[in-house]
Amino acid sequence: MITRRTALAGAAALPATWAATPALADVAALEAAARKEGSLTWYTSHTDGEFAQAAASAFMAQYPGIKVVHIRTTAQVAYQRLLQDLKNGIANCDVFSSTDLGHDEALRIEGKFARYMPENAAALRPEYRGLDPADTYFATLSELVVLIHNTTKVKAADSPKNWPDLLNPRWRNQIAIGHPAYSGTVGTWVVAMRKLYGWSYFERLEKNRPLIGRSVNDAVSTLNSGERIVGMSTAGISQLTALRGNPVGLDFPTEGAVQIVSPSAIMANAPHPNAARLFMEWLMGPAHARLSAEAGRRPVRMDDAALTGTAAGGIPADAKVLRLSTAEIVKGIPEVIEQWRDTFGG
Amino acid sequence: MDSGAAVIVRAEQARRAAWRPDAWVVGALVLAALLALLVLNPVLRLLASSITDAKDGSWTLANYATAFSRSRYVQAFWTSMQLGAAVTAICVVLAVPLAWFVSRTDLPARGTIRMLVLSSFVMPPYLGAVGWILLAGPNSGWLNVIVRGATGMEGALFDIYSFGGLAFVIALYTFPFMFLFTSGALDVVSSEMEDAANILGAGTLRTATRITLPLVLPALLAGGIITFLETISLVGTPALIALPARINVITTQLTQFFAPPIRAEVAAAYTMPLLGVTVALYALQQRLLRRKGFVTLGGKGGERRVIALGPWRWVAFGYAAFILSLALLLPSIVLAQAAFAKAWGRGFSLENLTLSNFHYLLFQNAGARGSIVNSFAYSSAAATIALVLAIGIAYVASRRLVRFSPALGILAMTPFVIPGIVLAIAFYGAYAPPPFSLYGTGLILILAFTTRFLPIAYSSTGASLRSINPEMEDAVRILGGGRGTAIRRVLAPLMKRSLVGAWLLVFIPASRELSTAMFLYGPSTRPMSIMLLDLSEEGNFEHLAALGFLMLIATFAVVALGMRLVGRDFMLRREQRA
Repeated sequence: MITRRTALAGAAALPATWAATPALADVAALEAAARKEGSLTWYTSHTDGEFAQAAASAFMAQYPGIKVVHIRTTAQVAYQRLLQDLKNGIANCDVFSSTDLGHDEALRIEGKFARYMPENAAALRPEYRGLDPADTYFATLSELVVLIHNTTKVKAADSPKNWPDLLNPRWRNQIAIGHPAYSGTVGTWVVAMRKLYGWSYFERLEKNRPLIGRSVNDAVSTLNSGERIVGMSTAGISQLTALRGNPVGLDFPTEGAVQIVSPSAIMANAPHPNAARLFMEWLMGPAHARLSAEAGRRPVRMDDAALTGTAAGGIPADAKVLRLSTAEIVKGIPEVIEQWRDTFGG
Repeated sequence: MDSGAAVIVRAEQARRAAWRPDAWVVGALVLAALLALLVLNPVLRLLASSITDAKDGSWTLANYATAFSRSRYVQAFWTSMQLGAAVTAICVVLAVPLAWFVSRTDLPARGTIRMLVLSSFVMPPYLGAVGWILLAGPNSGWLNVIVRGATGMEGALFDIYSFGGLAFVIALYTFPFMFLFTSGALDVVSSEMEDAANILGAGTLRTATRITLPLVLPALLAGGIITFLETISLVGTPALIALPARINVITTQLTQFFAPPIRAEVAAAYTMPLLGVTVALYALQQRLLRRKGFVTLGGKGGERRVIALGPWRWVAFGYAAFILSLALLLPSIVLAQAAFAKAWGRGFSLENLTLSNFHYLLFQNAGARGSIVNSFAYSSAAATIALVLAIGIAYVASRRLVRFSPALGILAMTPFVIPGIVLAIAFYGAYAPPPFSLYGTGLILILAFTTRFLPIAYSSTGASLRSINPEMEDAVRILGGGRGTAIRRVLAPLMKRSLVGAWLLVFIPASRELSTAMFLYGPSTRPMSIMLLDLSEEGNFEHLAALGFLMLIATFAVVALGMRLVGRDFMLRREQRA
């Protein structure tokens, strides 16, 4: 949401940011400076661990001599570690990638982010631009939260097609979900469900005794093992798991898949600022977009249009998508974590 | 000069020499200072932080009010107490008969059984929990699948995601404490009292329950207290089982206080009652023991005979085998299956077999490889420091070199009764911020591990020091050697074996310690235990099992090495006296 004040602040900040932005020819200079720093540390909750590893490896292959140390955890755990670092005056993290926009907003307000306008920001699709009017954090990944089921145990016709279908007593003891106090993706989903159906949705879901993991990816692993047979997760990890021959199917809910827009930012106290900038450029560049699309994720760049649908099944053109505003997420997630603990008790 | 004057001069010199500050007093003071840093300072800082306003630094009780402000927080505390009691009760059922069989009867293969029980120590509780999720997950757990297949029943016979499941799994990996304490005491009870009971007409069972077990009550209580304290400070098992089962316990609540906004002072206030619980437990123990005499436990005198169980020995053997399969065999099988599986739910088949999980951990995931190196580096450093400290303290204490030597011994044993998670929060408060600024360094983990396991090092070196008569050192000193020479040339060679044993006894638990590592590790200092917890977030049991598999292999290699060096019974010396 852009208020008058933030718009003004953003406008005032723009020239300064642009002045600090290296021109196209400077990417070579950035690379040289990054190489001198030799490494960078990336706290990420954007994807599953395997994908984070693949992304780090791809970057290292493209820029030999610059090592990416990546720490993949759920968003709230990554944020907690980052705050602990900051509180103790430790500069560890160079690039921070959360799935909870609230983290980015809080850190931006506290002045913990460096200002850097990536060259590749120009290639963002319109709907992902201006996520932060002050241009400290940028969308680097997008996901859709969908309904999933175990295809060997649930017939395609019987699988839940819309969010309230999970409340059907037939799924008692058969549902797998993540935890909003760990996963930013789950947190955003819970806020969206509360907006659609009110908190009673979760009071009724509780009656079905879902198995609550931590990461949103946990639900897919649980489904895959057969321990539970329906649930929610991201389209990306579900499609990728299915592509590998696992019995995971997905449905795009009729009332809308929940869109997660995940930002990344460079820390103000980044020990490797140039490597961080280079990595930020890479995260917003075509190589990362291709890698993401191949893993079933939504492209955030305009030139990825052709990539849509490369993943197993792809995303149907008519799939309804729900997207919350930054303000709704910032305010909502801390609230639903408390409500969650009161309802589910853990 | 006549000889009389010379004697007087020499006596005077000797008197002056005696007045010179003894190097050992200085040494003892250094030890005292180190202990103050490792044990006293963190605990006092924890107490101070719990009554300090985080914003303006003034005294306040508001942290306590916040810590217990919601019924959910109080409920978590209460649930942990119930869990501690339930686990202790299960451990008594598992361990006490087993200890009696192994120590006093003609149970077949009792040497092997004793060793296998102690091997359960090598299996970290959270890894056992992963194994039991695969075994007793209500829908796809192997045991439930087998039961459903055999009986045609619907639903689940075993549900790991329940209070009972949680208590059961924790008990499987804490009962060795109870076993050690009980069998250690049973080993030294002489048969005379039992003979007396037999003569008066009591059978074997009656004698065991009315005579023998009451005699080892002090050891039972000590084992029970340790079991209770270990249970309530576990982090991994609750994260894996309690969270999905929607049960909130103290440790999950503490991690919530560390979630943004970080409220370390509220966490400190929340842990203080735990120290109160510890004190209360020991007070209860004193009360229960006060009016009774246990002098028969005093010495190794008296004769100990093996009790013949007759055909019942095979029942006893079955019981032992049953417990060991639950704790070791079954979890190991399913963990191995998952570690080598593409997807564990697909079962045991050739096409499901893969090495890719190991390939991923060893060659693709830099974090996992680094964590293995970290764990081994930190735990060997901690074991070495703990051992050096323990030798110093034990020497000063056993030879009574300074007046305050008993205090040193007490300080060295104190961490034994501080739950690991409390120690972690205390260390976080004392050493993470400036002026020490140790957060995220390997050093803070090494120091925390050193402190946590110092009691093990101290009690085992202390025991072996006490068994060496000071006359031998005195002989060295009469012949002109200093204390240093005496230690180097006499004590060290005599203690070599037990020192290696003590080192391993610290190294093994430190290499898998999770509770103490919480809140203290940084991105580049993650030990294996934290790596495993990070991997567990995604519920990817194949990677989890593979890392656990690597962990077990590495630890067993170290144990095997230890057995080669000091004999296969080195683990038995642990804490028998406590």
